[in-house]
Parts: sequence; structure tokens; C-alpha cells
Amino acid sequence: MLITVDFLSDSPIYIQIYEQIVFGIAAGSLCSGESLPSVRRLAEDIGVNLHTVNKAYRLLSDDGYIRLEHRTGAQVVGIGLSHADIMPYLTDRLRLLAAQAVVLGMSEREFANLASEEYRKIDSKRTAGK
Amino acid sequence: MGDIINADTMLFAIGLLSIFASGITLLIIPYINRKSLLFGVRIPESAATDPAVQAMRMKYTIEMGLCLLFTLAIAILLFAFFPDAAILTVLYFPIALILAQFVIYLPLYRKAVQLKAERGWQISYIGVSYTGSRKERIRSIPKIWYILSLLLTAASAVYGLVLYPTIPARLITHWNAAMQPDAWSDKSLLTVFIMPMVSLGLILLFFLSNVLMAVMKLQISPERPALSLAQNRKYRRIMGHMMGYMSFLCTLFFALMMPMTMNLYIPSAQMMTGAITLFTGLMIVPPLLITIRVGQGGSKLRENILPVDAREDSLVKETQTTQRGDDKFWKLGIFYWNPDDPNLFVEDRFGSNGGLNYAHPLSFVLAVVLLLATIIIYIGVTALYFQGVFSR
Repeated sequence: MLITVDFLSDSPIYIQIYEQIVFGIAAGSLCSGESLPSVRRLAEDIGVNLHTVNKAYRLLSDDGYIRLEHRTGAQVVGIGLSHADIMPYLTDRLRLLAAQAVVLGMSEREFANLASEEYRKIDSKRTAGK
Repeated sequence: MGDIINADTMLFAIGLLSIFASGITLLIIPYINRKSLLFGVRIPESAATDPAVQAMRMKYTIEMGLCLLFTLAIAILLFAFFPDAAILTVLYFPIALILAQFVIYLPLYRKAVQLKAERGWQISYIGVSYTGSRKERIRSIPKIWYILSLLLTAASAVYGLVLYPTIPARLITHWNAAMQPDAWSDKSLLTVFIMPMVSLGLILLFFLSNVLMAVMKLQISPERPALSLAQNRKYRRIMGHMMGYMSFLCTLFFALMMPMTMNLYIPSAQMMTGAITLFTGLMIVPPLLITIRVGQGGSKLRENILPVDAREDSLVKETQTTQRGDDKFWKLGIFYWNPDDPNLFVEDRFGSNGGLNYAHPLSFVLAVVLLLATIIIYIGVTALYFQGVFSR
């Protein structure tokens, strides 16, 4: 999978890396057990500081998307990880999105449709890859 | 091989060919190099059409071309007066060309740095990395050529072993240019197995270069990442086949030499010259054409031969920005020194091969070993020449 980082974007680089790896797992570009590049390699490729990549990897590992081990480096955990820890976070983000939808004057149905459409897009990408 | 085709004229012809081939490889560099590289300096891909950039590339090629013609003329003159010295032509003239190239290159590198500053070409705001592992790249080496080469070598070894009892006790090991025998030695298993052994070494060498090419650092253009990645994949595939083809060709050549080393069949002088010319031609021309066609890292491959999924997000971003702020790691635009880069092998900045990251701890060892090996070979062969080994 290609990881692309936009230095002009408002979102911090470690968040961009984090998000792209999550997207990659969801879309099936990154499979369970697959190794991610080492912190040094990724930092060098993108042209950022080691700490930036470290931060992204640590965040991914904290949220359970990847496993960080001293020997094997970063490994993708894959689909179907235990989601008890991440639920509050997910609910939080969703709450904000729902609030934004309400402010925009969207109906509940429209909001739900939008959500399931995005879900299906990513999910179909993964199933198409298999 | 040296024992069979040691005639001065043959050596001289090979010398001229090697000068010519290395000269051509050197003078086409600006046109094989990525569009985003100008004499070791990173520039925006869109700057390739800048008249100043085009003029610089042209200037280099013309100067290098003149240099090549001059070198060939000197080599021919040298041969006319000292035919014995052909071996020195083979050894030293390509080196002279490389030195000349450096002299031509350096002012152009300085000019490129200056031009970049004048035009205000800046660092890109996009960074790209590919998550695929090196193992995946090594696995994609086309192994079929190497398997075929090994099978052929084994077959020729078996052929030698089976026919060993039937060959004469005293073998011709050396012929002059007119294919008249002029050296003999007692038959031994070594004379029979020298050919398979040489091809085994060559197969190993080609396979090793193939592995090196596979593990070389991936250069992905941030302007069109997906396209660039697909180009790179295709490039490694094509180059893998090319190296495999060269390995197979060498093996085939040595296998066909077996009846001759075993004195079972002695070809005529014309046939020998024809065979060697054909072999050298097949060894140099197709790889050179392919290299020109695909460009550095496959950067000249067009979209239509790439997978469809690579096309959709490979839209050209017309930005006046360079790809990476990595010029500072490239000393004189040629020598890569980046302690933060874990890669040992990186793509050439100016050239079509790979080079070392000299800041990598291992690179020092490798560079010293290679340098020493080269110096030893040069001193050895030169000393042998002055002792009269190559003259008759």
C-alpha cells in the first residue's frame, strides 16, 4: 500500500499516517500479519522525523490496529480486532459527525444513508480484493 | 575463455566494443535518468521541458559523444602502433571515459544547482512510502532463466563427463587468430570442467545483481505515486528478465564451447569470429535498447501498459515543486551520504544503476572490498602484460 502524506494539510502528519493505515486495513490493502515498514524506513521515505512515525505507530498500537514488537517491528493485526476499548472513541467521533449533520440540516435517514454508503464503499473494496 | 580467444585482434575488437558500449551507456544517461533529476539535482518533473534543462542535457551528450569518438580514435591509433597492448586498451580506456565523464558532469551539476535556485524550484509538500516488504520484491525475481541456466550448465558438465574417456590425452588449449593451435596441455578434469565452472560463477553473479536490484530502495515519485509504483514493479520485472536472459546467454555460449575445449570439434576462424560477434552483440544491444526504452526505475514506461488501478489515482499534479528535499544528501550529486536512511543500496542519481549509501556502516566495507578487488585485478593484469604474458 502507498502511504501519502501532505505537508500542507491541516491535519498533523502522524494523524495522516494513522488514518491511512486504518483505511488500508479496512480496504484490504493491508492484510493481517503483514509487516509495516520500520520506523526509520518510513520516516526516511516520507521525509519526516522519526518521532512523527513513532507517534503514529504507537497510537495505532494503542488502538489495537497493529502490534509493535521489538524483533518483528510493526505488524498489522487485521479485521475483527476486539473493539471494546475503541468503542467510546468511535462513539465520540460519531457524536460529533451527527452534531455536524444536524447543524447542516440533514435528516436522520440522510445521515444514516451517508454512513452506510461510506461503509459499503470501503467494505466492497476489501471484498473485491479477495 | 581467455585461452581460446586470446588473439590480439580479437582482444582489440572486444576492447573497442567495450569502450563503445561504456561510452554509449554514459552519454545516454540524461535521457535514461528520471525526468525529475538533472545532473544529480532534483527538479520538478514538469521542468523537463524547460529550454535550459534541455540544452544542458544536450550539451552533456554532445561533449560525451565527442569524447567517445576521440577515445576510439586513440585506441585505434594505439593498436596500429602497439598491437600487443590491446589488453591495456580493454582495461584502461573505459576508465579514461569515466574520468572524462566526471569532468564533463561536474560543471553541469553546478549549473543545475544554480538553475534550481534561480527558478525557485522548491521541495514538494507530499511524502510517499510503500509498505511492501523487500521479501516480496525478491520473490518477484523471474527465476526461470536461472533454473534453465543451471540445468544447461549441469547438462554440459554431464556431457563433459560422459565424453571424457573418448577425448585425446593431449588437448589443444589455445588457438591464434587464424584458429591455428599454438598451445597444448595434458587432459585433466579441470580442462573439461572449466566451462561449466565459469558459467556457474556467471549465473551466480547475474542472480546476485538481480537480488541487489530487487532490494534497492524504492523511489516513488510523489507527483504520481501509484503510477510510479507500478512503473517500478514493471521495471524490476523487465530488468529481472533481462539479467536472466544475459545469464542464460552466457551459459549457452559456454555450453556451446564445450566440444571445442574438449577438442571434439574445432570451428573455423570465420565461424569463431562470427559466433563471438553474435554473442557480444546479443549481450550488449538488447539490454541497451531495453534500458533506454524503460528509463530509470521504469520512469519512461507509459500508463497504457500499467494495471488499470494504477491509472485512476495517477493524475499529474502540475506543481512547480521538486519531489524531495534530499539534494543535501547527494555530495556532488553522485555520492549518497544519509545516516538516517537504513537503505544500503539506492538508485543512482546520475546513471542507470544503483549505488551505495556511504553513511551506511556496511557500505564502507563493501566499497573497500570492491575498490581493492578492482585495483588488484588492474595491477595484476598490467604486471602480467609487462612480463610479456600477452605478447607472442
